[in-house]
Amino acid sequence: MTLDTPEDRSGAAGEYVLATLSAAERAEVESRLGSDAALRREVAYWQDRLLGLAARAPAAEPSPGLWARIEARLGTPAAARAPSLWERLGFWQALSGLAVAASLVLASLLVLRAPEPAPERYLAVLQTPKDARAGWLVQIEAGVALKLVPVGAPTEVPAGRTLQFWTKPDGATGPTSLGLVRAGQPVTVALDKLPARPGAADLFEITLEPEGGSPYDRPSGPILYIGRTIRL
Amino acid sequence: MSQRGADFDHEAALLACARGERAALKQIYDREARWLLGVVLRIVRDRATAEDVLQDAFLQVWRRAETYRPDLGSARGWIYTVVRHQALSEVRKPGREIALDDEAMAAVVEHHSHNTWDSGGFTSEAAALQPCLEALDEPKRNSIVLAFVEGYTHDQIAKALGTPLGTVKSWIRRGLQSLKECLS
Repeated sequence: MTLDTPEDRSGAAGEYVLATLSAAERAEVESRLGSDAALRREVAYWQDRLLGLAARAPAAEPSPGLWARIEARLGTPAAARAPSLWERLGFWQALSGLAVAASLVLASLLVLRAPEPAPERYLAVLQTPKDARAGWLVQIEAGVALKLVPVGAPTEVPAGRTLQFWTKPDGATGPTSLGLVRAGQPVTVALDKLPARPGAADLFEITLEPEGGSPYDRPSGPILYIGRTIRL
Repeated sequence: MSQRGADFDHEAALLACARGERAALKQIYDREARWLLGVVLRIVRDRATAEDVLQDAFLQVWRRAETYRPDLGSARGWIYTVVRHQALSEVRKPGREIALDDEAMAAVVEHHSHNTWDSGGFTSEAAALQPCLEALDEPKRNSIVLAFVEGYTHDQIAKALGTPLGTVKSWIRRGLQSLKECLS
């Protein structure tokens, strides 16, 4: 797909709004939107002009409880919220490293749990590669489960893309997908999905992928968050 | 041309969502949910799934409200794009593609060959688009309507219209071009 002439851009933007582009073409349009003001204008143009076609779909009354279900899931939009402690870059930079972050989490876990014989536990803080902002925690309890828990503002996921969760045990040759995840939603993964027994220095990462996930048995998109486990 | 509904200020409501005002999202919901659910239902074809999609889509609207730029276009157009794309990502999940048999597709094409602008929620938007869409030759019009309203892919449109894929692609591109000329 070319986006060089005004006609190309208008056609691609129209098809982006119609949603007839292939996943790859759509990703291409989305990656250009940030830097291409003309393309943004074309997308907005088609959004408005094609809207009249919505008149072709008969209205349908939502169930009475639908708004309550939506409201129950609302956080505060990123723009409107003061950054929490978890999200403040300075907070993370002030820490000397993952071990300190991990010990804070451990401390909070200890406060919440009665003392008991400690099972084998691992923790990884998944951070943005660029500015080491924490986005997710991986908590593993041997013999129980792996939990992936979002921290801070939900990850911005462009329309038509998805987040995919991967692991690469220390020493493994390649990554293994642990499935697609949704921004802001915790996930529990059964330990038998892991390619190896959990251990220290196992790599976990979240990548941005086309809808449905990477077409390959490895990530195809950029790494959004990455981190390695430490033993608690 | 203003895309703003006569009795509801979508722009103000969406900008208020970006500031974290939940009441504004509720206003959008109260105003648009029945039309949006209709659009989603047409694409996902299952009531329970459609409500789940609409729920996810409203969270998208809430979280992404800050990216809306009122100088580029209407808030209503933006909201419908977010919601339609959410519905389409649901039906295009691997393994979840809805198998459309020839008979069902023929019925859909037949349905759209009648003049079915029966929804009262888009009077001003449809008024501008309708004459230009009617002016397209039938295959181009059908291709664009099937893509927007039914959420069909190029492949599904080709199957529904019994036409090679390349022809459908060119109908859609040329159809959009003609629409733009007509609308300007």
